[in-house]
Amino acid sequence: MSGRIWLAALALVVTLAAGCSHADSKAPRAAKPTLPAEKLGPGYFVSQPPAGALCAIDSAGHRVKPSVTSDFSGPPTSNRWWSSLMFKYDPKNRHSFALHAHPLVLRARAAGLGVGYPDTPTVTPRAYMHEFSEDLLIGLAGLDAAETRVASYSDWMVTADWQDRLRLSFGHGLPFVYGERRDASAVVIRISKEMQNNWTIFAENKEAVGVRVGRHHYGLFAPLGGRWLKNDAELSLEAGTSRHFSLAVLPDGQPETLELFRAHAYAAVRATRVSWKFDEKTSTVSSDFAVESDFVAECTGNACAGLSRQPLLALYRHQWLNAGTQAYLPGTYDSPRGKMKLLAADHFEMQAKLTGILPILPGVPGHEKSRITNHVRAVLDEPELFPLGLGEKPDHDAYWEGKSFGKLSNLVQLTDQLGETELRDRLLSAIERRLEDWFDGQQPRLFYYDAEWRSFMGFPDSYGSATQINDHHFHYGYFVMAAATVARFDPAWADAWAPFVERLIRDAANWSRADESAPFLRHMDAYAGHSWANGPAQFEEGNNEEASSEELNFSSASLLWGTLRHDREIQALGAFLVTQQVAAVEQYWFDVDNQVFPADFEHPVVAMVWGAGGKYDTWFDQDPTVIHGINFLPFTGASLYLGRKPEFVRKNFDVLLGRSHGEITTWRDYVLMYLATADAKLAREHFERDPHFLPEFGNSMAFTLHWLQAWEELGHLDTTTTADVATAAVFVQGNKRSYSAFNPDPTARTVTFSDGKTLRVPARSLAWR
Amino acid sequence: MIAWDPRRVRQMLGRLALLALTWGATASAKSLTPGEVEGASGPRLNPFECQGRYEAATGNRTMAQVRVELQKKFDQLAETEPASVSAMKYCVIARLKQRLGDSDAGEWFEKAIATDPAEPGYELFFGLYWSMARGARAPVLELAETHLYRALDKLEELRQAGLYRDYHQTVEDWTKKRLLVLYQQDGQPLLPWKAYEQTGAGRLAPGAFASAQLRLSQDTRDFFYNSEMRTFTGEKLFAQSDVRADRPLTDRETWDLARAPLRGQLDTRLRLRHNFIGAVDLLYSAYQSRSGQIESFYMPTTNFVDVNVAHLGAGYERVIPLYPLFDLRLAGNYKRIERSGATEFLPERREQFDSFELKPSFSRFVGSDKITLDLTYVNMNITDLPGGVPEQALREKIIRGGKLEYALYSPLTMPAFPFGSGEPYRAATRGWAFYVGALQDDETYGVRRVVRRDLYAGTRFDSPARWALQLQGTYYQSRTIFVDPNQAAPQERTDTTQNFASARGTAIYQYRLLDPDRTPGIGDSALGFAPDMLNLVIPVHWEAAVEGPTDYENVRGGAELWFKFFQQGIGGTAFLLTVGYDAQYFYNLGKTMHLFNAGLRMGWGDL
Repeated sequence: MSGRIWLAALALVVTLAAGCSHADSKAPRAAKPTLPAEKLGPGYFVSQPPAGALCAIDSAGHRVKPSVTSDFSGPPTSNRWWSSLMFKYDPKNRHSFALHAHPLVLRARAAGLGVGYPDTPTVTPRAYMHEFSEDLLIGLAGLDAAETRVASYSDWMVTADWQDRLRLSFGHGLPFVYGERRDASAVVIRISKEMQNNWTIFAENKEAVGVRVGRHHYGLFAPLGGRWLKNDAELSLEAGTSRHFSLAVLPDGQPETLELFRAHAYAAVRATRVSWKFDEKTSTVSSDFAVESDFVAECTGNACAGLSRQPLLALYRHQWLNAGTQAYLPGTYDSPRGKMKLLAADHFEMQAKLTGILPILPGVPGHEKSRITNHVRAVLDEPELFPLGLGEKPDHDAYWEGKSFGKLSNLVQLTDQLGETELRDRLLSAIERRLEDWFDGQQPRLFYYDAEWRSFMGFPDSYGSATQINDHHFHYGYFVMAAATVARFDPAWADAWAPFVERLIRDAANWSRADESAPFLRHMDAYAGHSWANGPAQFEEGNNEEASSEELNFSSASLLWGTLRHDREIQALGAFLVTQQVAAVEQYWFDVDNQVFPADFEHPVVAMVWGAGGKYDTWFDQDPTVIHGINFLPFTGASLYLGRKPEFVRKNFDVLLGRSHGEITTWRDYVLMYLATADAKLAREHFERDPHFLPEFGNSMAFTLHWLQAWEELGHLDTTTTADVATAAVFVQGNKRSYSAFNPDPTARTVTFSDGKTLRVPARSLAWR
Repeated sequence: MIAWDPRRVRQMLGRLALLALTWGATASAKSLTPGEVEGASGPRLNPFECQGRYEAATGNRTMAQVRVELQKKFDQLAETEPASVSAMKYCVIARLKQRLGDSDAGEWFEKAIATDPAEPGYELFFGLYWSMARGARAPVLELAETHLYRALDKLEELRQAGLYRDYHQTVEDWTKKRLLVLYQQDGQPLLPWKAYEQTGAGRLAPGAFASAQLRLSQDTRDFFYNSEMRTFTGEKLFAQSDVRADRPLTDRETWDLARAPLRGQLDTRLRLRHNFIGAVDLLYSAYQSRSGQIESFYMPTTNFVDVNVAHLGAGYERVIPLYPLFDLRLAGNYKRIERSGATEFLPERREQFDSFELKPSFSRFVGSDKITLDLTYVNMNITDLPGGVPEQALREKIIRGGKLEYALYSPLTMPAFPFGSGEPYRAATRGWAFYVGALQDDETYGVRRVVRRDLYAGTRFDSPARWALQLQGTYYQSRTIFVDPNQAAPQERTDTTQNFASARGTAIYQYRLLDPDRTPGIGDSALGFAPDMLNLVIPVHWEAAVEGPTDYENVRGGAELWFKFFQQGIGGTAFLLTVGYDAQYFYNLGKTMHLFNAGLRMGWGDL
């Protein structure tokens, strides 16, 4: 009898112990989900959303279908600068919100397309905005469309359709709107009501008419042989059966400028296409931006003399800074991204060096190993390795779980470096089990594929990730980084689960045009150099992107995954995204050259880039640390780009410190980690003044301390020296350079740096000299 | 130190005027206009965002850092933003000021309410301020209930207008829970207006509450937690004195004096409460101790008699905010007491006498910390002894006491020991209080006056986790003073044979098995009972002689369970059920005693 009691007690203790243990004790599940599901690798995703889930809905809560024409082909997309045309979030607005194409800004209406060129920003205490103001409208006589739909799109342009009567194509960097009249109605250019007393025709040249509306100059280009007829505040096109026409915003009102544009007006851009190459040997990323155009002039006699078959392109600042020597034309445009330069070309190429990507900073002699290890143990002692998230409705949703993945992934890399393999394996196991939990198609955590919108959605969702297809790149970046971390230490796991991980990458940034399970580069706006977060772009200010650093987390995670998996396509994708985004972030979030933000905008950074401008504000807090810090987090071994310009880092920190009344109290870890990339000694001094703070949710004290101590030894990033491996970084401390590289190969190799130095790196290891 | 400069006086007068206005406002239950119920301009914001932002700005920060956070919140105020956004910011500022102990926190709550008058959440937070932060030993109930009922009014108006949102259910749950907790000191509601589930109509309605507590014990210690060592030593010395047995007590007599009579006490109270008046109480108590009292100190262990005490009385209690000075709690009562068994030789004698008790408390924030001074004065005009000369018949008992407490509410840096690490970390506490106190009990028996003095100091640490620890040291001194009637000029002399003193060290560990702070609303209930708190309490003490006999030195330890629950089905009063066991070892006697206690309270005092 007493034996039974002891057995029962033992069973109770074992049960309790099991209940108290961390989630890492959970066994992988492979059972088929209860919801309809498809197998992907060893896991499943469901093809029916969980009960009660809302996916792709409008503001009234109703399901939204892609607003496309019957001849539309290809996958519907979201998160573009023009997405309000396709994703009608406001059920009362069947056309669009303002479409910030740059230099033009447009807005679809029932009667056609409103056109403006807001070259002067409105500056308020927390924002600068180039607000859309309609100068004129492109329409047809009698046009009153119930809805404007998308007829086609390509990488940075879109063609909108009004009842199959009028199609207008426009895009980033295109000074022109290219029009196609699809019935016999007359094309009408109508001066906006507000500007009807303030417009004039400043020049006419054959089919071209120069119109000044307020301070802005436009060129209207009729088909050869056609002409524009003025009638009060309208210009109507008389062009016989010719269908094609165009309108362009001109950099100035000179007749020769109108003539220049007339010469290029018949090279009508039909599609835009980005492509990239990554040469790992030289760490060079080449990004090509090409346009396909049709020459739409109907040439009779010598009517086409002097007309060019090359379109005009306007390049953003981050592009012309990195596009080498180009024959830019006179005249520039003012945009929320600074000056845009004009180029007559059907493509241009940007080149960038990839530097500063590591899985973790190297271990340096100054590391306090026991202190850091104690802090790792403190994390493992916490009741939950994947705690509930923060905010109004705390949940184990894809974003906050992602942040836990980020925290633990850094600790895996760190414990390995510290030689704490038992701790590393516990953390690694916890990550693997949790990823499997997400990938098994079982509630409460699963992925659902919305076939109509071609989108992979994680549930529980958050911040509109399902309802508006928001933020997938932010969320999945953490998952991919966690998977890349596992791939370093447990390649067999990565082999097995690669289909699922790559499906996440594909959802946010599909690199293959042939695979239409997801749109090509859903979030990444290749021409703008950065991503957009909002699915429907449901704002007059256009789309927006807040945490550029979380965007880069996705990109560098993809790069690391591709590198570790020796998947050259995904590695190149990551390299392309990283180099483009770093170039854009430095200009448009940080304005490192003081050339982008308006002179009277009193902030050194913006937290959010919008189509129309930038905001010194976040979606969730106005604390200055949050505003600055949202573009720092999360820190990983691939965050080194933040320290590319140490002088700017110090300036940014000084402003932040001043606005924080001399003490960083919020996100103290991230701010000091940021400062460390430029002045580690000062960062450490600040840290030691109060080392008892709580790190941000997605960070740990162990990683913070490791980071600060590493930079004290390393100095700052050397952006001039590259390596023949994607995962390398060089640092400069005074006159001393140190070299670090991670070898993703299963065998040891010698890494050669561009200054001739070499470093022997063991298999799947990080070395430092 | 308060400097009495004219500016400060004006400021004080201004705040007193504001206070008067606030009180005046309780008389006017103004409904929202149709425009107001639509809410302030701007997006509708969940008022718990105020709580979230407050927590984000205070979590793991020193008070100096919270002050920086507050400054940053001021920086974020902008004239051009929608009113609903401004109201949210005012609320966050108010919460931060509350945390920092700023005396003008209330003004910012008022601003939030005035800026977004339709939002009930800000009324809830202001109500929580008066009920949880302010007050002296008790909440500023009248102001707290004013705002909580206004929250209920506004919730109802939003419901009527179809503007009641998901999060308003949480506001409503919190508000009703807070009202429930607010009235738990009062007891079982007898009238519907202030009973759970409350409605806005309860604000100006009178409240009537019944409360009771029943305590049973078989214990060496009385219900007032007096020192049993002092009791037994005093009895022994008096029995040995030349006015009684005039001989040393035998070992057996000394052993037998250490006794644990069965005791029982029933306290009942009818409380009438109105927002304008405060709380007026009618009190009735009955106490009995079976064979607890020595019948004759000539033969002290021959016979122990029962003691019966009953009293009927009236009391008053109200907390008055007098910032920027302090919060004042006025509490006092008058009781008519009847008892028997307390008179030596005359166990059947019934005494009737009056007792007056005053217990004011003063409290104010010192930064984020709080200092509280409690004073006690009790005058029991005990019936004179029958017969003999009048000087020797005089009976009287006067108790005077004071306790000064300083409670730290700032986060503290403490060592952590995961896997043996001593890495320090900073954690918020629920409070760390330090206190000192003194109590003098003068009891007159004719020409003899027994003077008992208690001097004590202690600390109570409420950890951020589920446990709390209280440590206290107490010095007990007993003196008997008499007037020598043989002297021409009577002088007070000390009877040195009756002098003794002892010291007690107490440690009380408390662990919250069921933590009420983790359930902001009312928890799940079964049969109308909703558990709220379950504490395991482990008290340990050691008491030793400092002066005089050492016979009753002892160690004592035990365990108690305190279980608190709400009964929503009958109006929402709170019950506290306690059971405990202690073992006490008088090591110089070699005597071990097993002691039991149990209690059931229905809304009595500080549950």
